[in-house]
Amino acid sequence: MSTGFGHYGVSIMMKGGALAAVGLACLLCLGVLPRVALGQGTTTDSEQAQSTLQPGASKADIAAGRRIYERGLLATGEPLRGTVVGDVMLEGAQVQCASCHRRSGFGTSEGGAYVAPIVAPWLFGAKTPDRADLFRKLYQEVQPNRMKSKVRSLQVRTAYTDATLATALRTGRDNTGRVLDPLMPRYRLDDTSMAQLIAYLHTLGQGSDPGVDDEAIHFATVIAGDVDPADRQAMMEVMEAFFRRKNAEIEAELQRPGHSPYHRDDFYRALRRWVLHVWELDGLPSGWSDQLEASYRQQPVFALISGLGEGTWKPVHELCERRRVPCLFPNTEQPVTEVGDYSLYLSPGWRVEGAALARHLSSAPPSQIVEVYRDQDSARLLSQALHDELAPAQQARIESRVVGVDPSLTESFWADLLRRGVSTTLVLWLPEVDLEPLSRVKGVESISEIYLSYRLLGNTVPNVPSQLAEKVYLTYPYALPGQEVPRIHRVRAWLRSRRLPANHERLRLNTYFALSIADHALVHLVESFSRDYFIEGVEHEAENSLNPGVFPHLSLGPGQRFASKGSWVVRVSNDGIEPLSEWIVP
Amino acid sequence: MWRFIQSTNGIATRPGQSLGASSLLLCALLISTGLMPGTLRAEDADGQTSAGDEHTGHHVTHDPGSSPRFSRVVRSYRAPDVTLVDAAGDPTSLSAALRHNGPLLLQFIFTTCPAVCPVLSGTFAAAQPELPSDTRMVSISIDPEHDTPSRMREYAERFRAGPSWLFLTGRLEDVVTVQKAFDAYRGNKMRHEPLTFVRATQAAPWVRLDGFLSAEQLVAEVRRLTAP
Repeated sequence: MSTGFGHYGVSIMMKGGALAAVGLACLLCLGVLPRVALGQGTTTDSEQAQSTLQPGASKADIAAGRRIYERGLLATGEPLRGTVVGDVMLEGAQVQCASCHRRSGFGTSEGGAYVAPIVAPWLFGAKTPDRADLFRKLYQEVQPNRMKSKVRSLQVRTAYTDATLATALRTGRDNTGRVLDPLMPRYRLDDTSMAQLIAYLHTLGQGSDPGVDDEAIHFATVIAGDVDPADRQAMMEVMEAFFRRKNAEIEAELQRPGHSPYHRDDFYRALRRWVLHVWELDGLPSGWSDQLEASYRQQPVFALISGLGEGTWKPVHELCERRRVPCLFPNTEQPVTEVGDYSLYLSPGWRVEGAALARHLSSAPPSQIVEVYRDQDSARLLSQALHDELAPAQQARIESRVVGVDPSLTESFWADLLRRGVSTTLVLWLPEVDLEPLSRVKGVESISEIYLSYRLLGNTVPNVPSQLAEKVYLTYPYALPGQEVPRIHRVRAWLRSRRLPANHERLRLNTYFALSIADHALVHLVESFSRDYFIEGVEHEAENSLNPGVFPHLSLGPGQRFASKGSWVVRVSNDGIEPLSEWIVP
Repeated sequence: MWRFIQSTNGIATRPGQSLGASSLLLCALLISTGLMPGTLRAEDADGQTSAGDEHTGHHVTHDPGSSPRFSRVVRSYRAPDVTLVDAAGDPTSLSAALRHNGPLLLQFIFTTCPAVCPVLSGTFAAAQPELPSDTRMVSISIDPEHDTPSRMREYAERFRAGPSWLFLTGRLEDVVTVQKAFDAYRGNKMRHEPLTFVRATQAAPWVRLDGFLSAEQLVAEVRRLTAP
């Protein structure tokens, strides 16, 4: 396999493992993409990047320091302790360095509090003003003016030594004698723990993470399993159009070094061409992990963006966690529910619908629930979530029938079910085709309500037979019709202007969201190409106005991994759907 | 009002120092022209200007000690009639939570908040044993979709919250309504501000403390408000 760059920076890894270069690396050939000077812009593995050991520090020391930094735990098992605001003692996770300075060490901003980087080049190098960094803080951080006044104040200082840093950490007085912010804990650290923490700080933020070189930043998107070709096309059209546009902008900037208007020259060193690799997984999921590893080894990527999966997403999730690669918002209904560090999802997928329905049913418990579902992943996950979330008393009242994937259910199946005395609530994790024979069965009027999954129905509102009118309800995890966010119009206009069809809109909008938030987060990095910092930027940005409107509300925070967290239960009426429940967040 | 105080920070005020005459004159002018609705009176402002220390991001106080600074204004807020959910998962009306005829302290927090909330809640926790025994504390999540009652319980345990410290979450739109009623809504939760609201009695106006307080400062505020 080889790597090829398209004219808009797209390379495609074909199923057979061959690589089809879409075009030539025109920018390089034409010499319009000069090499960008970047101090440490080399592609190295994280492990290699972290090999800059403090003299005398062992790997065990660094690991212990990392535990202090990220978990607030000393090697002795004692929690880290520190005092903030003069007299408030905090310990453990409340006072771990990563809480404020974040795992990346690049800091954050929150509520007017500016927490600056403590990565090794900043701590152990002299601090000098940087216009690009200042610009980012002043104009790209949505924070109150008090934060801006802080970052505007010109500060220079010499490099910390281990001794002056230890003093600062213990006493709150920096190496110039200034007193640090009251929010900065004054740590109670013994000499051994202090040495371990400082040993770890020496490794933090050294160099770029893999997937970035002096000219390009590499991304991949994963297409896993037997996906609908039309879905694949819809997603890829958006991705290619976005990459094309992004690289055109970058090319325009790079063509005028020293002449860019306004502040842009200050960001010149941070510009990288975006290169997209498409990793298509074939065969059984058991083989996907090897395929992903092979693709990653061939070309490490900085992040995975969007993606499309039919069935399990676990092998991709595991790659992201194993290789510490940010994986942003794939189009999958089967995200891994265990919270990972690097895998961010649009929603919890099937599970959120089942759990939301359980919550809804708990509000007015039916006397009996009969659940019917087909023996397939999607329906099993819906059912499992329903059972997990139901109160114990209700779990005793639910009867589940599992049916094979084929053929469709017959009238006699439903007649048999109704003869068993079903008179209350049906939960049917089934496709629409199974409803029609149900409507013809004698005694159907005894059914009080039927719950279905909108997504399992193929994202369509079913045609409800007249016998079942007013009885059909759906779990519905999307924004309600007519409750569109303003940004949807802008994104639709963007898609239209690229001459992309209006079909598969949710898929296109979600893909656009993944790309646009990656773009925003990348700008915040300037040239600090840290994957952790990138993820932290995404967490920070998700709640801003980038939501293109598939889901009613998108939000993340430190450690949160599902941007949309709930589902409606809606009533099917002649006019479409209307909410029966509130937005339920299980 | 507090924004005005911040904007006058070019003339730094010290803790406990009242605003200068020119500032008061401007305050009076603004009040007389109706530009400051809802402001009852301004007390002292502790928001000194400070030089930012970029190398670690910790700004420098003029006071060489580590005491934090905050501003204080007295405001009148009308709590909306919404039903929230307590840490046990039970519906609780906000008015019931705030219906307390002793000192009442209110903060907006969220459980995954990296920098601000651990300190805000830590101050509550440290002040807890020193506050008058009839004090009620209320922490309301501004990230209710993530902060389920069980997460609020874990958070409460982390800060060893006593029985007089309530933790509330609820529907996102209700929580936004509450924040707006207290002029605390900033759109994105990462923009939230370090605010503590204190009320001496049910009939008293709210004191809005903007910034970080030490436990000692918070206790002093409450004692000052409740002093006979």
